[in-house]
Amino acid sequence: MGRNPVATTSAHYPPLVPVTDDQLLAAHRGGDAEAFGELVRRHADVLWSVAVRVLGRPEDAADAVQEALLSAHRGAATFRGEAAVRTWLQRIVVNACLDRLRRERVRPVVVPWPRSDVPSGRPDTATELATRLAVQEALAELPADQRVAVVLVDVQGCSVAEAAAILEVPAGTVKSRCARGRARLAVLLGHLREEGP
Amino acid sequence: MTPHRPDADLLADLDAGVLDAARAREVRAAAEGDAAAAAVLDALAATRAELGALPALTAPPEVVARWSAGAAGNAGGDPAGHTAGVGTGVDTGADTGVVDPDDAECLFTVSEPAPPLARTRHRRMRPTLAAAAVLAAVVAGSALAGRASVAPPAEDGRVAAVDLAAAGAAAVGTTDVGELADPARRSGCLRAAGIPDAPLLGGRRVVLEDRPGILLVLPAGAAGSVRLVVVAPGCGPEGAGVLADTTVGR
Repeated sequence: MGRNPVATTSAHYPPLVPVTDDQLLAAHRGGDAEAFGELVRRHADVLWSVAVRVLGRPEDAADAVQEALLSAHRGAATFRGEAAVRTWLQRIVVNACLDRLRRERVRPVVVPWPRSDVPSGRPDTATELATRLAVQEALAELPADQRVAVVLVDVQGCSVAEAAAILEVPAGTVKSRCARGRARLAVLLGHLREEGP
Repeated sequence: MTPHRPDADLLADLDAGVLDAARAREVRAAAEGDAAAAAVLDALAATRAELGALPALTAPPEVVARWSAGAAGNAGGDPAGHTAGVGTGVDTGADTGVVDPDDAECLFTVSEPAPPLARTRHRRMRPTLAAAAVLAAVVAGSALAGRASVAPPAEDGRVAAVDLAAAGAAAVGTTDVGELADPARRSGCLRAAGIPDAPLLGGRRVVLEDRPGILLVLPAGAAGSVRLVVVAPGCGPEGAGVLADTTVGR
């Protein structure tokens, strides 16, 4: 082409303004066929993390999030903006996970070493060693509501207020579920000996 | 009254902030100097640390693609919650050739039968908004990865090849494309360049690596992608010089 003088351009370049989640959701409601997909991509990692940590199995997590997103896609008209879009999406995913757990009554992945099988000698130490479980397997042993609370607050790093908004329960309920869940996990992970009767 | 040693559950409540201030003070006092209570609190702290140390997960691309396809396949539904046509559409400035929403190509592949005429009205596509989001994500990702300087084009339109995504993002919704504003000329240009004709999502004149050109932002025909093409200014049916051709997105 050869060297040409600088091409004439507009002196003003439109600023690169990030499109917000609210704008994408509004576009989706307005009939934009691509906007919801962009929302999905933005939040895919956090939705995936929540589902995998709650359900334990990636294939279950993929299905649960897909169900949740279809529900969100159809139900976008009912979202009134009372929470952040990200909070709303996490809420729908958590509910899909809880529905799946109720339907399938998922059993823990690992069964704790029964006390009756503890080798002789020093049963307390042996029990402590035997019952040390990987964190993910330990999470699977918690009741669903405690598991979800611990995943949101301790794994995902949500504040108690954020978790309460996602779960639509009071903050005190989140704290209580976390307390029970952590106490149980402390035993399962071998940090604490289970108190006898 | 000698305070009873708090049990693990009560200490867990203390640790989690469940207790009111007065009760928390009582329990804390009872736990003071008690080795067993300290062990419980240490165990809870270790548990929280272990939970927090779980690695962040990245959704596998094929799973995300499945989720997007699932949502797109559901696109025949009415997300606005009504069946009448909606009032808003894309302000396209039709005489500049920016995309006519009724002709716009989806950024997603949607496998479904053509919708009935009565519903077509409110399936207005806003590809400029989604294209801007795609390019913004690419630019942000590049910035985080330290791969590119993601400044928008300089005032004189100079663009480095690595900044093409940023230039594309800045171009979405604009139509500073000179003679290529004529849809017929633009179609001929793309045909001559061997690029499938597609609705224009935006464009502007640029100088790419010291060569003047016209940046065209086009849908890429794949979910969540856009194609950025820089053609020489004289591009038309009689011939095209392609200075850059890249697809960005996920």
